[in-house]
Amino acid sequence: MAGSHKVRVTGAGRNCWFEVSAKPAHLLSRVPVLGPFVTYNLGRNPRFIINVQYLGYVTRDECDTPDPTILPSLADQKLWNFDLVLHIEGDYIEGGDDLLVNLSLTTLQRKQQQYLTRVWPLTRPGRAELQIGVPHPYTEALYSFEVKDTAVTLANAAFATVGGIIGGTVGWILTKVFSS
Amino acid sequence: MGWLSNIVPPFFSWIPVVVLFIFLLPVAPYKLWRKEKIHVARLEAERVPKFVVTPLGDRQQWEHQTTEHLMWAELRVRNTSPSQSLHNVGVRVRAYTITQERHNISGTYILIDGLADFKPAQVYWSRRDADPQQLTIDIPPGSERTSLIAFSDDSNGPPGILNAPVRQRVSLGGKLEVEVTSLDSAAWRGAFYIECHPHYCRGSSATFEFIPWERWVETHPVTPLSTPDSEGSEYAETAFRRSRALPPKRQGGSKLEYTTFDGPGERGIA
Repeated sequence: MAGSHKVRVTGAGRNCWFEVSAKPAHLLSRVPVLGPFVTYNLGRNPRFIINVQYLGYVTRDECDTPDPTILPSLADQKLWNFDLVLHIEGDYIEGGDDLLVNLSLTTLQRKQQQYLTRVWPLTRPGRAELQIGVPHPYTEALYSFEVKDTAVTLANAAFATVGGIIGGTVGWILTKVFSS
Repeated sequence: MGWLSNIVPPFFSWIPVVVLFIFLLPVAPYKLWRKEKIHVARLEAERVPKFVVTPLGDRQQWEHQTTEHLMWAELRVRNTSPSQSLHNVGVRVRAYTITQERHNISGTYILIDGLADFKPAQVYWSRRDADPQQLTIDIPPGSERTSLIAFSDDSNGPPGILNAPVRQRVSLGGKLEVEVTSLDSAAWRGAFYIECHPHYCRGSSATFEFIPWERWVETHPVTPLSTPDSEGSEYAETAFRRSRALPPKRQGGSKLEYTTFDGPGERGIA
């Protein structure tokens, strides 16, 4: 089952914290049940929209709650670059992606930054995870899903069922109209 | 049941409502899909860098008229946007890898991380376009600015010096990975081949060879080291991580730190 997680992320030695989440760029993929079956069949090429929100600045240690009213110091206002990787059963898909955080937008203007990832070709079935930063077994995935190797998908069946219901209803109404 | 027939409209009165419902049924998802498509197209456009980057090698000046250096390599950065200024444009050298000819196969090269102490660095802009030691610059729409990547004041040859706050010597020939960033554009990334040729190699014209990496590879085949050896040496590990497009191995812990929300309601299903 597809699932998105909100991940807190910061750079080493820095005190700015961001909340990062992901959602599939394809609209139908966001339906929890249909998601993996619609987009993530083998051979599909999903993309993701990454949302970056400034959480705040931790002044003392990492246990403190980030203070969103504090802006990053000048030393922190450098290039923020988070690595994005996608792996299927631990096998990393070649060619990563970089999320360039717009500090001006996220911290000074207090807006949410959105970033469209590259196309990830799915070449093998299994459990896939989109991760931010250095891949690590204990790193929570931004988005996780199953890559299915199925020809007839649940989505096709669902669409056929819904289409049948609508068609039947319309036909019944028309029959009633013209028979009366 | 007579009162019911007074309240409920006759059957034919329902027909326009049903038709309207059937008409609206696909309209709402279509509007949603259309709006989302425009949004994704906008995000897609934001992925495209608004830069055109051109390398300029073969730059030399022996009379000290226009520059203090004898030979240098430049990067010309042009703002392709017709209306938007690019603010805080910076040129950063991300990595430098030495190319070395294979001893057993003549004419083919391998990439070696020979400069262990090389650090990514932002380079200064050329003094013709900016104040001395200026790391970021604003580029007006359609305009062009020049960044001074490396220089040498020794006509007898290498090494060249990277024009960064901490000056690093760029000896031999190698692959220089460059990143151009701005607050108003996606980052541009590319690779170049850079080599400082002394005057005894090319007669009197000591210059930097500074060309796109793809063009250099056309005439100098580079063979990858794609698999780590059985003993997992650092050399093979580096080549392996490059081939899998993994980030370089961090020394002394990872670059990023992670925590996740544990509270209820913070984790959802897409």
